Amino acid sequence: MHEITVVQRLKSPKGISGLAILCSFIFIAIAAPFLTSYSPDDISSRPLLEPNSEHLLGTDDVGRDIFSNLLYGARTSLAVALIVSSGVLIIGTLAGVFSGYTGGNLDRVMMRGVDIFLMIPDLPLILILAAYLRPSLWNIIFILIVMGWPVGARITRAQTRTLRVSGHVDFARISGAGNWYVIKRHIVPDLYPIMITTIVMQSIRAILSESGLAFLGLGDPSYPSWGTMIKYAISYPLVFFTDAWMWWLMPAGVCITLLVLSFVLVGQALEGDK
Amino acid sequence: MDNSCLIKIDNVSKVFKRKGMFRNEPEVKALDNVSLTVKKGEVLGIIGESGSGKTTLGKLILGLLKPGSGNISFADIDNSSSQNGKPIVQVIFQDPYDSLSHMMTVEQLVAEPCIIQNRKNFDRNRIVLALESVGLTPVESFLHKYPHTLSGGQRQRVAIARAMITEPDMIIADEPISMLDASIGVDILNLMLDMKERTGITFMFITHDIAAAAYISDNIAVMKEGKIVEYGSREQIISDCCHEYTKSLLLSASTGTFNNTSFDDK
Ligand SMILES: Nc1ncnc2c1ncn2[C@@H]1O[C@H](COP(=O)(O)OP(=O)(O)OP(=O)(O)O)[C@@H](O)[C@H]1O
Ligand SMILES: [Mg+2]
Repeated sequence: MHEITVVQRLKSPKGISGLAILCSFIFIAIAAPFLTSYSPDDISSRPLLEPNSEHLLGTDDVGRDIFSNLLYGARTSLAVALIVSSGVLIIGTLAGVFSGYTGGNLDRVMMRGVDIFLMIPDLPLILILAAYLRPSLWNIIFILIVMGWPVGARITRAQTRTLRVSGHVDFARISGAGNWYVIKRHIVPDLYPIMITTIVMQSIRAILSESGLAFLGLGDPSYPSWGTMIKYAISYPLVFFTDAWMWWLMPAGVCITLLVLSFVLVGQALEGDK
Repeated sequence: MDNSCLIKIDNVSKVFKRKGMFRNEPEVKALDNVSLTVKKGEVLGIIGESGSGKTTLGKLILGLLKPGSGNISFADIDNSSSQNGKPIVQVIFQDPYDSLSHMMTVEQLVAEPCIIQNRKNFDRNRIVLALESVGLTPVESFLHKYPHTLSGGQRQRVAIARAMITEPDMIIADEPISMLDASIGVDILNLMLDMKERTGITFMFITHDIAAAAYISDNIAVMKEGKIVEYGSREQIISDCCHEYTKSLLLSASTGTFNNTSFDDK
């Protein structure tokens, strides 16, 4: 994909709305300390306050400011999405290009390894590992990357193998190009669409997995997370009997949905959907 | 190897094995004991029907395929641009849809051989001249186009321009004009003849079209089913050929079913 097409495609309604949502979340995550004066773990306030001018979304059952939790939760989600997707992208692309370009027995061995990874069901493994390892954000990120890169490697390798025997690569070779030049100028540029899809898909997967694990209580308690918020809100017995769910439960759910939606929209726009 | 020849092909065979689930699938004998010499500064026409192994022969010379048996030897050339004394061979591939990277502009495509060879310090005018000589004018309007916005014939001309830009010792042109209309096709043939006159470059001109081959070639080799069935100078082939396949080619050309350069039964 050329830069011009990327810009053009992002200018579609879907692309613009997706980018707008995504950028506002990024803004929230970066500017969180300036948007709220409370820290997310600050339990100095009275519990179960209704929304007021000091606590825009009230406080939860131990007196934490829900609004600042929401803001800092965006940091966690976006950071996990960023690290996991770039980790998967880098490892998957390197492994895929290397395996597909080298070919031969090495390629065969590597792909059997990837097949084994692909056979292991993701979610159960993540649950088990998250339960046994220390509940830490880095463990979750690690597991998501380890379980994610084989997918990227597989697709990248398939594309690399097609490109390796194409006429323009042959021409570059005949003109005296080395492997490095061929990979840099002829293979990697052709992988951009795959890379974009990988980033979008892995970001969505990371956001949903992080929130889901946090919701199940397997998240990292030291980082504010939308999943944790939902978990506490739901486990508070009276949440549905008062109006509290409206400012305690719903905002976190809406945030998760919106963030995932923004990635879906950007992804669809980049694939050329109007 | 005597002085006048550039490439000597000795009893080369190439068999493509079919790797099927069951091993009883037939092998394809793309080249069968082919011997041929390419002389310095000549235009060698290779004609033959589809699947007769013309492209395979070209790829073997280019080193993209390894010969199954026999060997291909190159003349030593005193040339500052080639390091190991091997002649520089460039190629115009048959399929211009596959041979131009769709991530590069025309300018980058044409500049690529120069960039690979001498790292950035090349004359940008050469690109303009090369594009002009293949008839892609006005050049400025083509420089920043991507191949997917070009027609098949325009792509093929980009491919021709970039093969010629480094002024190699030899160009293998695999049906370079089969996608072009007749007048441009003749222009390209004249351009090749002109280059040959100016720089003494050697051409191997692969085609279906005996009329085009007769127009440009000094020597012609006729291939059929992986074998060279006839080899001789242009006059020999046209006036007193002996193999019936050549005769049938000539007959169809003279009756007009095969003398249209834009006709391609690939
Ligand atoms: N990579 C390959 N694997 C298997 N078989 C091949 C391969 N390349 C070519 N062949 C076979 O070798 C034979 C010769 O092919 P080649 O491409 O050299 O024909 P050609 O003379 O160039 O034909 P055309 O005029 O249609 O371009 C064909 O039968 C083809 O099927
Ligand atoms: Mg061919």
